[in-house]
Amino acid sequence: MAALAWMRPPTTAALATRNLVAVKSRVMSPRVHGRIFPETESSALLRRELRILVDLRTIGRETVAHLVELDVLRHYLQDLRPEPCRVTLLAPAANPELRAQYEVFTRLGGETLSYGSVVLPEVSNALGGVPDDFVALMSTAVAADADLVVTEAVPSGVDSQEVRGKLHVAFVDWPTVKRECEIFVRGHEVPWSFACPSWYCPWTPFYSIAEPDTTLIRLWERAGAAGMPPDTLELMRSLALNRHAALSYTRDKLLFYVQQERAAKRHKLHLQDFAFEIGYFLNHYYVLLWAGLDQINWIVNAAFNLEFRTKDWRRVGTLNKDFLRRMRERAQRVADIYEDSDFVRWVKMLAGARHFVAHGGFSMPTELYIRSGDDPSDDNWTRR
Amino acid sequence: MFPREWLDLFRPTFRHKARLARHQKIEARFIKIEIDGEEVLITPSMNIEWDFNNFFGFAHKIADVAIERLTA
Repeated sequence: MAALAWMRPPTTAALATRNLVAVKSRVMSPRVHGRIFPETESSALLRRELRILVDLRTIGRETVAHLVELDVLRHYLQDLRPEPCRVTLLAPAANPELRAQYEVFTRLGGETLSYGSVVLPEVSNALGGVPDDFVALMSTAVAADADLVVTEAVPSGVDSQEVRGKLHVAFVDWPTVKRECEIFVRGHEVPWSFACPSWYCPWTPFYSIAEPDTTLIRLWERAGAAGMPPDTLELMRSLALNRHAALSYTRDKLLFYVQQERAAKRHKLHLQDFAFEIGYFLNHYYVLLWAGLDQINWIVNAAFNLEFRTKDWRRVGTLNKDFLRRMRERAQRVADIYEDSDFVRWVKMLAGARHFVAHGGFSMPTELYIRSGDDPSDDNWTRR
Repeated sequence: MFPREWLDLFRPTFRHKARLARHQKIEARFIKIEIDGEEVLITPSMNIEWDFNNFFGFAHKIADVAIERLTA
């Protein structure tokens, strides 16, 4: 291996507690005003720092712009009082071959680790058979408690999902790391977009400005010019602006809690799994998506003269046979889109999830265990 | 160390955890839903962007046909 353990990495014990907002430092339970309070171990609050390990070999003339954009975000976060969260860029300890890259990296706010390239046995075992320099990079990421690794040197055959599942660290390219940063800061209630950066943008106009749905906005504008009735125009406006924003916000919240869950798994926090937070937003997500399909159905009804009235609402549904039959008669191309097999498969899955959360229960993602062959029956377990 | 009634309170949890420890845990989290009368498991955390893209992909296809009709 070219570069190995230039300096000692932090110990596993140090890693287990670093960067968590709530760190247990007492032996006894907390005692305030003479009362002892219960304390939950193996838990922590939200992670407020996103740590990104940068493989400096990825820094070149074309990629330095990404570093500049990330530094702008870091300046913005520092301007907010109190600072809601932090994005930290890290690089392995200086490698003399990459002096120019280090200069750029540190000038743009990057921090250099005190160690360069280490190999942790758990990473080596988890990756198995992967080239040494990749094992070293991922080991350095684990040792540095990095959430993300920016690298382009991914060996062929390495599956990113598999590595993420085993190490709870994601290796990504520059565009993805920026997207992950957006998710992280938006999760901390900081509306930020690299495509349209601005200071102190509130949520209300944020998604319409930063990630506008130009196709749906164009539909709304054309329908207005064509003299469509006001209630249809309102359906289109609300779909293009309000629902698009609500779905984008909910999607980002869910992705944020997936990030948090990944950090919790890396820290082996058994009791903090963010399942409640994910479940909470998931319930809302399914209802928003399903209601959005209803909204599209009414737009189709108006735009293609299907002539269903408000009182016919039971027959206006994405999978409703009457609705689809009339659509086939009057707008075959639209019916083809509704009856596309991939779309129907997705709608049925969405319907299952939405109907459950709307009528049956609370959608809480849960762990799944495969029962071993020698597992005693339920009765035997209860008697033990 | 703890009163017996406390231990009795936690006994079902301990028993449940001991039982789970004997099983193989799947990393992803699931929810159970019903599709066409059959129970299926989905992994919602992995489907977040897929759901979003399916919804807006569909909406855009419909919008494109509608725009064409409105401009004709």
